[in-house]
Order: sequence, then C-alpha cells, then structure tokens
Amino acid sequence: MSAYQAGDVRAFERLVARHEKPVWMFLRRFTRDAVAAEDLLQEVFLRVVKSAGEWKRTAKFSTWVYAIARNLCIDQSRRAVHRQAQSLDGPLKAGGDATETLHDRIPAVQSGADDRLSDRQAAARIDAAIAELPDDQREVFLMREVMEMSFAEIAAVVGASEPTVKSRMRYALGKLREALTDLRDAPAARAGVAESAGSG
Amino acid sequence: MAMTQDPMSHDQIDEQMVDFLYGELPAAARAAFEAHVAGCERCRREVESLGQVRALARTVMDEAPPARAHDAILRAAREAAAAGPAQAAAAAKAGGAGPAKMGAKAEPARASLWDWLRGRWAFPTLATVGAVAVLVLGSRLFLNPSTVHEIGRPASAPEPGAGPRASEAELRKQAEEVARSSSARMAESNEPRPSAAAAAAPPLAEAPATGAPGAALAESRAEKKRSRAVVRPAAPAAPAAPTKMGGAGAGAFGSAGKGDPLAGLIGSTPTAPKKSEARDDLVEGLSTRDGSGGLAKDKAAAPAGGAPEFQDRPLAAAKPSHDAAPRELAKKRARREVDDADDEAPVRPRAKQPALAERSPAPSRAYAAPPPPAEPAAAPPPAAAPSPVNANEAFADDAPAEAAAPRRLDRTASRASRGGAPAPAPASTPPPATAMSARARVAAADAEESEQNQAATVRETLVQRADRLFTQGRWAEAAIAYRDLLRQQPSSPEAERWRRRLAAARAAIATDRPPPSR
Repeated sequence: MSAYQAGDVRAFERLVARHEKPVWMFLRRFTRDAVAAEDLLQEVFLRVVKSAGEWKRTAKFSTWVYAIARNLCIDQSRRAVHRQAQSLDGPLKAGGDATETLHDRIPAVQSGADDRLSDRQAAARIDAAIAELPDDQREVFLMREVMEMSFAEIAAVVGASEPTVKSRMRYALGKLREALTDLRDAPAARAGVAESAGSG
Repeated sequence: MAMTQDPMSHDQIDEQMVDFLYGELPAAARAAFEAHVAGCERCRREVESLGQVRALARTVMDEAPPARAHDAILRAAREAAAAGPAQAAAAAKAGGAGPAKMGAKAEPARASLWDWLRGRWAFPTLATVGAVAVLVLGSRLFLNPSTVHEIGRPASAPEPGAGPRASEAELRKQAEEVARSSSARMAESNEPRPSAAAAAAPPLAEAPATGAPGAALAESRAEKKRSRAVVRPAAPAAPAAPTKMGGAGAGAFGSAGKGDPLAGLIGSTPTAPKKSEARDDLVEGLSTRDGSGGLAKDKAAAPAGGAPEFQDRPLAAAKPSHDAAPRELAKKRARREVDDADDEAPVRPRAKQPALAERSPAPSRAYAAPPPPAEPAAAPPPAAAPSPVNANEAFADDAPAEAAAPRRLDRTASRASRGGAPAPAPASTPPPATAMSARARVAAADAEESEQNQAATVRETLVQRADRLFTQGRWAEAAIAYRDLLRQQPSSPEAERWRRRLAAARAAIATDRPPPSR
C-alpha cells in the first residue's frame, strides 16, 4: 500500500490480487446476491483508491479493506430492506422450502448428472444455512473463514470483545452443524475434517 | 497417562474449542486439549462435527470473483492515479452508490443540490416558507377591505335581471307600511284586518275601486288609455287583466259576478279590459313582484293541478315578462310618464311609482330619486283598499246594488271634492318639481275627505243591510250586523233601535221562532 501511495500502480494491482477473493467471498455470502456483491467489490477497491492518502502505515491493510467491505455490506443491506430485491441465490421467502433458492427452480443445463445435482443441492443447502445465520454471527463466521482474520482483528472491526466474537463463532458453528447434519458424512466434509483439525 | 491425569473439564474444552479449531490455541494449551479429546469420546465427536461443518462451508464459499469486476477495479485505479486524488474521488463517486459509512474517513467533498434538497431539514423549511408566503399573499388579496369592496361593487351593481328582484323587497316594504297605516285607520270600523300577504298583493289593483283619492284620477287615466286603445292593440292586456286581478285580494271581485258593479272595474264589463289596461303597468308591477299576483298569473297559464308550483313560480314567471319584452316595458314606461305628466299629482306619488322605477334597467334612478313629500298622504289609498273590499265582500252576494252604491258615491264625492272635474288634467302642466307638492297637498285633502265619506257610506250600508237581514228573518246575520253597528256607533241616535232588534234577533235564534214584533 505504501508503494501505491508513492504512485506505483502495480502495487495496487498486487493488493487487489491478494485481497480480491476473500473480499468477494465475504461480500457474496454476506449479501446473498451475486450482482450486489460484484458492485460492492468494485466499490470497496474504489474506496481504497480514493482514500489511499488517508491510510497510515500503522494500520494493517487487510483489516482496513475488510472494514470497508463490512461497512458497505451493512449499508447495502439497509438499502435492500427498502428495495426488497430478490436474489437468484437468496432463499425464497413466501412459500416453498426455506432452503430453496430461485436458482434451484431454474432448470440446470446438465440435469442428468446425479452427482452434480447433488453437489448443487448440497451447495444450496450450505448457502442457505449460512444465510440463515444472524448477521452478527454470520459476519464473524465469514471474516474468520473466508478473510482469515484473527478473532482479535474481527473484534476490532466489529467493535466487540474477543470473547464475544468467539462466542458468536461458536454459536454460528453449532447452528451450521444442526442445519447440515446429513451432509457431514459427505466426502468433502470428511476430507475437510482432517484438514481443518490442525490448520485453523 | 493423559487419560488418568487429564486436568481439563468439559467446560474448559468448550471454551477452547473455537481457538483449537482455528489454531489460535497456544502450544501448551493445545497439547492439553488434544490429550483430553483423545481420551474423551464426547469431545472428540464435537471436534469432528465442527470440523466437518467448516469443511462443508469452505467447499461452497471458495469462489473466485468475476473477471469483469477485477478489470473494472484496475481500470478505475489507473484512471484515478493518472488524474490525481481529486479525480480519484470523483471516479469513486461515479463508480457506484457511495455508502455513508466506511472504515476509512472518506466522504464526498461536496453535496449536490439534490442532496441538499433531500436533507431532513430542507423540505419542512421550504414547506413552511411556502405556507407563510401563501398566507401573506392571500391576506393581501382577500382580506384587504378596499380590495374586497372594489371586488364586491360590480357584484352588487344593478343588473338587468337583478333589478326587479331588488325592487321587490322595496315594494313589499312600502306595501307593509301602507297596510299598517290603513289597518290603524280601519280599526275604528272594526273591519277584519287583512293579512300581510293580502295587504301586499292587491292594493294597487283595488285602489280605484275603493274610492281612494287616486281612484278618480286612475279612472280618468283609464279613460284616456281607453281612447288610445282604439289605436293601440289591447289584445295582450285584455286577457291578462282578469287573471292578474284574480289574485288573493281580488277573489271577492271574481265572486261578485256580473251584477257586481265593482266588476266593471275589473273586466266583466265591455270596457273593463281597457280600464284594467289603464292600470296594467301597475297591476303588472304587483303581479310580477308579489306572490299572489304572480300566482294568479300562473294559475291562468298552468293546467289544473299545477297549484303546488305557484309558490315557487311567481318570480320566475315574472322575470320573463321583463326579460322577454324590455322594449314593451320601455314603451309603457314612456307612456306612463306622459300620462303622469298630464294627470293629477296624487298619481305619481303612489306607492307603485318607485316600484315601476325600480323595474327599469337603471334602478339607480329610482333609488336616487327621493320620494315626493305628498307620498305619505297619497299612500293610504292602495293600502286602504282591502278593508272596504272585505266589508263589501260580506254582503256582495246579498245586495250587489247596495254594495255598488257606496263606491259610486265615493267616486262622485272625490270628484266633487276636487271641483267636480272628472278628469282634471290641466292643459298647461306645471313643472313637475313644483307641481308635485301642490298636487300632493290636494291629494292629501282628497284622501281625508274620501275616507270620511267612505266610512259614512259603510256605516249607512251596514244599517241598511242589518235592517234587510232582520226583515228577511236571517236572525243570526242580522244579530251580527246590529252588534257590529252597536260596537262602531254605540252613541248613535239609532243605537236604541239596534239594541232592540239585536235582542229580538237573539231571542228568535234562541227560540227558533220569529220575534213577536219586528
């Protein structure tokens, strides 16, 4: 970031390449709307460009960027309350299965493949389970999982104590476990257990 | 070794579970945690289940951003770097809807006009200013007295159609005043007092028949017009006259029949239409203004059963006569002015004159002209009309000849009081302003004399009638007649005779037999 402040555009490209994906995953899951997440992604980095002169070396760049992303998400969710825009990936509200999304009702191009169908259904259920989390638990979960922020950093960004953040994380994991009980025996889940046991 | 010497409880394991899962547990604590989990089936399943949840979430959330978003970000960054920090801020603003909050302190440097208008305080402030402006302008426009008067003046200005309606109230007022004065005079004769409507309706139409001071003058005018009627077609006036005269107060005339000499003044005799035509403008003024007159007019035109409309229609029916024939009215008015100039003074100051003037398209003339000084003296005749008529009405059916006598006597008396000139139109008419007062004085004297003569005639007629009724054996009517005579003239020389006859009539009524001696 210091290089970009000095006028090195390449340095900014490297920053984007490093933080673009976590920010995107966070925005995508937090907003539950791919289009809105894409707009917000550009907005986040435009804000970085705009506010580059205000960044200080003492601050961690990732924390600063993720804080911008989180605040944009909060603003967007407030506006979405009035717009009531329906997302393709968001859960259908009135009638039907709570975990069913609009995307699921669109016929798949390769609907003959059972495994892909089951993968899509499993992904939809996981998406829905994450989307059903309370906002405070979901943002902590996403910051930790996709942005790989420490609990201390999360606590600083959300303005809560670290034990509170850990507690929210613990509740979020418990709710996801309840929602995804039948999926935990999937190969991906079994493979992930060994990986996540010691990684963190 | 770990299983038996495990110092950690399940609660401690739960507290450190998140740190263990995400690798934030210190090495010593991590070793203790792992030792516990290895020996505790429950904690081991807990760690495994949560690990599976994390793995499932990661498989779904691992997603690369769209390439177009990446390109747009880099393009905006290059443009911002080339343009400088200010343009970078503008580019950031144009790149998307700028949220208010963000981690950094960046905010738009300047709000647009629209943003300013959308501010929380802007709309209430502008609304308040607008309301105050409307209030001030409205008060200046509509609450300014001078402006209001200026606006109201044309509205209250006389209009061609509004003149008669305005003069109607004036006419009614004058008629009521005349009726009050006449009723005061009639109180001594104990005649039934005419109702307000009757007093307002018939005065002018019946004035010539009551022997009022203006009656002879009106008759002379009628004779003049009669002579003119040879030249002027009288067709429209002839059929209208009886209907107009058939108003509330003229009902007795209609029932008098051909034998009634009063009918000659109304239209039963061959000369009647022309006589009534002589007063048609006056009668028309009444009939078109007064409810009863208009009602009579409508009654002639409406089919049977149209009576309920009468109360609503008089003014409406009267208006078309003004609106449809203003030229006829103007001609009549001109002729009347000529006649008035030729006739005696009392004709002009009669209560009808202002009403006729009010019917003109320029009513300001009528309002501006002060009433002549002789008007109070000349006014009684029209108002005095109802009572004699009512008095005659009682015996009109019984003795038309007797009823006719007093009226003819009235006319001759009034003519004699003016020197016996039946139509005293002076050859050289003095200027109206100076002649008016002289005429008014003469009219006042005539009015007093005629009233005295009329009262005497009425009394004489009542005596004759009472005697006739007594002679015919109509005891009840005779008793009433004598009683009235005694009330009117208790000190009359004949009072004793009236009392005897009254007692005899009452006795006859009580015994249902004729008195022993009549």
